[in-house]
Amino acid sequence: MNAPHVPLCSAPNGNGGNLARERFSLWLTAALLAVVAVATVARGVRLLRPEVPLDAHGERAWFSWAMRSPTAVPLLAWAAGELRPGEAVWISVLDPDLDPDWVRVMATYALPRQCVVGAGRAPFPAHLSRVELGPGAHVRVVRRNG
Amino acid sequence: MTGTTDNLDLLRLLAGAGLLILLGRAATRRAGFRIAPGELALDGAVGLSLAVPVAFGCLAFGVPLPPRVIAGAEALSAVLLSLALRRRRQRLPDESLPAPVSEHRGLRSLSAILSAAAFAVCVWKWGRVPLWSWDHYAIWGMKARKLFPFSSLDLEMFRLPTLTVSNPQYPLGLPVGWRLLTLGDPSARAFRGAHALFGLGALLALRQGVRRATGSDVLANTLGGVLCLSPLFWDSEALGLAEMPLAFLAVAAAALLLELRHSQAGPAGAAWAAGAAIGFVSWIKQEGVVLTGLLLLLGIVVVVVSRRSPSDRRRLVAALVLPAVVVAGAGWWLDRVLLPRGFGFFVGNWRERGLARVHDPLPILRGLARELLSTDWLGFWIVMSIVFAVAVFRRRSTAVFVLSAVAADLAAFASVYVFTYLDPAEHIASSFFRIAAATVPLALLGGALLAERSAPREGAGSGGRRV
Repeated sequence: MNAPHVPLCSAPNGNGGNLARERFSLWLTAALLAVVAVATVARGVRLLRPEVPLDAHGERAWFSWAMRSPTAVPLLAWAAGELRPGEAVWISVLDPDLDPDWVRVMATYALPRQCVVGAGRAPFPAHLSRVELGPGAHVRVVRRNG
Repeated sequence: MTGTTDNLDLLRLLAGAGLLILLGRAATRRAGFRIAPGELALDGAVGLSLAVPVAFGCLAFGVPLPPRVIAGAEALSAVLLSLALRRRRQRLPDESLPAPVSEHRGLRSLSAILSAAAFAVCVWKWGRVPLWSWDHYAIWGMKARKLFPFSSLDLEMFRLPTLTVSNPQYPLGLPVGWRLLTLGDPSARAFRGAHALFGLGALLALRQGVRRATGSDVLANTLGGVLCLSPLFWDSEALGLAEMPLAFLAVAAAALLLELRHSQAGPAGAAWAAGAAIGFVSWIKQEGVVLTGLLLLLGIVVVVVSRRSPSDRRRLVAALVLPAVVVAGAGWWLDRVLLPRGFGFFVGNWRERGLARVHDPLPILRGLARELLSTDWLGFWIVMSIVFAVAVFRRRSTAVFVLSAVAADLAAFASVYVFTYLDPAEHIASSFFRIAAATVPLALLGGALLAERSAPREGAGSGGRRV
């Protein structure tokens, strides 16, 4: 069977050109669909792994810098439940692997109803309630009621 | 967190989204109860654009907004708006839309399935990765959780020296929007759910815009799939940040503009809705201010070059510009009055820095090119450059306007790197990729307009091409 003749350039009445353009559009769309299909399957298969591969642009650049401790925020969120709303809190960072400045930002997020005064290695100032983050995902809340 | 709390978070999120959609539907004066996903996405964008400024205004003037009050006020507003506008209710007349392209049913189904699968894979990833972006913890998520103790706005917290990293001068539309969506304090799961909703909204709004313009379901689904492959969706850095909401609102505003363009009836309601959405884009983040200006310009051009009577054009331009200026202006004024001044990237002697960098622009251009040509884009910006050239060559004016808006947005931010007090290479590496990602849906919509079909004119055949 002969394939229908499709002129590649516009015929005087424009129909041939339109047909060629529509065929081109169809092929282009089909090619894009194929890309979507292949990439979706490839990404889906990779997500089957126990560890999600984090290799997209921002993940490569910033994940390890931004997510220094996966347990810190849940630990601080637990501590929030032990403190009163509005209570001033000092975060004692006893875990040497944690950066106090980083912990302070995470604590401000995880303790939204408390006033996070600061974070540091020392248990100072002693008159404030404090949350101690120790090594091995250890957390302790020391209340000051006075 | 317990499973029950998780489910409650998701239920509240769905309720919040439903109320915003109802409010948007009432305001856009759509008739009937037909549930078209694309229309729901546009309604949601309009609902958010109206509810957030009002809620923020109430909070700024000391009115507390607990979740029940938010839900009740949104439902009541939707009912009152519906009643007030019931006589002006209209559906876009089908005869004013381009005739659907005759497409193979199998291909249409396949494209829909692939698009849905691509989105599902992204949702799967969002559900498995932790919230980890520094900007989520230090800025966006922190503000959404901390700014509203006892359901009131507490801007005093910005006086704390510990919060200098939180960029207190950034607009607060998104933290307020998250609260309206999640009807309360957003949890990690609620942030992820809201991200998925914004992503779904961007996908559906893009699909709606493409279908309206081209009449092709296959193309609409395919471009939806391409959107899901883009770093905006695949890069989990965007979780809990402002890029996805910005992308959603920008593409929804553009899709609303296309509805306006394709309606021969010239509904002022569609213009008001598009104007409000355009104005609200500036509430999301500072990049949104540029997008608001560009989208407004785009809207004016779309109306002015349309085949309407001069009086109709004037009426529609007014109906578009007024809400956009009011919404954007209110945001700008509230931010000026309420928020502390942070220091911008132009701090110090920016003229001298700019002049020095203009004389040697290669490092900046190289940095920009490196970001846009990254393999993560799968060649997206190369293809869009070709599409832009083709649109110019074939004089597809609407496609050229939309793609020019995207190019102008990128250029506006490229110019920031010329004057920034930071090292330009580091500044580009830390922000340009994300800024570009937020424009992807708009760029895809602009590209699709290359295949735009005009609405049939009275007594003419269907599906003519619009030049």
